[in-house]
Amino acid sequence: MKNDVVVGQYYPTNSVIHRLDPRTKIMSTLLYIVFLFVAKNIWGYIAALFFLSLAVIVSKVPVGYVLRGLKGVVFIVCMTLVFNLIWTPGEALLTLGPIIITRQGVMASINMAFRLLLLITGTSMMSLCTATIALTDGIEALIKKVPFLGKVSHEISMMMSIALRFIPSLTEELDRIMKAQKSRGADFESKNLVKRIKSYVPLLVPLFVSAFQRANDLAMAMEARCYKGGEGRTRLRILKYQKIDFAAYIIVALAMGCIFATRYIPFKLI
Amino acid sequence: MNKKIIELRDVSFVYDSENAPGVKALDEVSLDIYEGEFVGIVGKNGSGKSTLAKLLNALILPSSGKVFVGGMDSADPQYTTDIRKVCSMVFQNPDNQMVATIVEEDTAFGPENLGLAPDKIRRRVDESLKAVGMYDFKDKKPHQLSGGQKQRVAIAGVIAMHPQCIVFDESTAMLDPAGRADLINIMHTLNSEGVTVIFITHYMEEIVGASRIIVMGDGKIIGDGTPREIFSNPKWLEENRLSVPEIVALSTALREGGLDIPPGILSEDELVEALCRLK
Repeated sequence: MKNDVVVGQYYPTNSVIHRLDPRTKIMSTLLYIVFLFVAKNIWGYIAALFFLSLAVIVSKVPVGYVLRGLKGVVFIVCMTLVFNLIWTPGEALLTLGPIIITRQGVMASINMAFRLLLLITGTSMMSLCTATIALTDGIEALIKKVPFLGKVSHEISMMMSIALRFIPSLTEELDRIMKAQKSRGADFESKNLVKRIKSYVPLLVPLFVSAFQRANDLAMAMEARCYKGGEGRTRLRILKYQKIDFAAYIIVALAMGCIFATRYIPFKLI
Repeated sequence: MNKKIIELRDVSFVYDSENAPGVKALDEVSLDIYEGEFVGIVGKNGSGKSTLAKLLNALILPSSGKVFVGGMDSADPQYTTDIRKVCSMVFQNPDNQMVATIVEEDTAFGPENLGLAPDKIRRRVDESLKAVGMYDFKDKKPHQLSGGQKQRVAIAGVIAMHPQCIVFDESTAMLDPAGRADLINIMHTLNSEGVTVIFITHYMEEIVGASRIIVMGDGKIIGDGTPREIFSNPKWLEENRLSVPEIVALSTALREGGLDIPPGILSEDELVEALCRLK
């Protein structure tokens, strides 16, 4: 069933991480991403992996669930590996016809693979532990602090939450249109790639038409409920930092410090 | 008589689309609706009933004539928000009127727009969801609900704004019979609590319990009276392509067949009683 599409793949448990303010989680994830790029050697990644595992254990989200997020990106990771392996110039280790594999290439691809895998697992940890609604609230509150963007923070978060709201509806719609066209002989499973892509074009037109119709209806319904944009609008939930958030920030800062320190570990593992 | 809540004075509305320029959806309609009424509006497609609904909410403005809601002129932009506070609206498609990703957030949308304090919003959300029997679903996502449930959430979102009047614009059209019955029950409950209900529909059966029925045809009001008055003339209804509720049709047929049954029977109970009186 396409009905149970999960957006943002939230996995509810009652862990400390789940109870953190969404802003704390978003900021920590951002910091974590930055420090993945600050890390220079394998020690840095090991440290990052250690802290990430710690977070996974505390969050009570099953490990299999966390790793499932990687399934979709295996292909991209492999591609990056191959490209880095082939196209990094340097000291040759192995020559296979025209392909030269260099020591630097091996290092670069190992680094890249670690970085990507840690990055994706880290961000999917955030979305596993944060309900979509909290996520958009958090993003809105954070954008408000950014100069230039602050003024449109409400609009941005409203667009995000409407997009999230309508993804399941549009998926359902697409499914219905596909079935309708299949019943009239459309072929979506052709082996011929060009043919298959072409068969998707007639799906897009009705899907767009219906999306616009929905947008129109929704705009009308929002107006009828006195929507006038972000000005003078209050919220049901107001984000408020708790003690655990400060604690979390301190822990994250320490962890990042550790990752930074690994830059100065002199001995190499590989 | 109660206070007027809605007043239409010679209202016309002209749709200007490329395909059909200058189609008159409403033609000099005048109408008063009083506080506490339950008004059913029926009419075939294109009779102007949905246009009428949107005028009551300042979603569209009349091409000529005046619409007053709670005494405020809808053409005056300074009143737009206040008009929408007085008179709110539930639409046809249950899928396309939910804004938020979670039920309670959606209910909170209206009060949030009104700028109420968070604790007040919380109170209103809880009481509105309880009023429509959706409190247990407050953490659900819209696509996990049935059409009827979504429509109930839409009503909760509207009553959380405490309007004096709610317009239901064919809100039952896309629901199954059970969902429809639920919705109509909620409308009657709201009405008994003092909310003016304006219910636009295709189905005559649904407005048998209304206090007043308005029949629209070609942009004009062609009938206005109590259900008893409107349904006592089935021929006229058929001429205007409106169905007659089953009970009404049955009792008319029986009367025409020679049984001595009084005209204007609306419910099963009334028919049973009339039949029992026969000797």
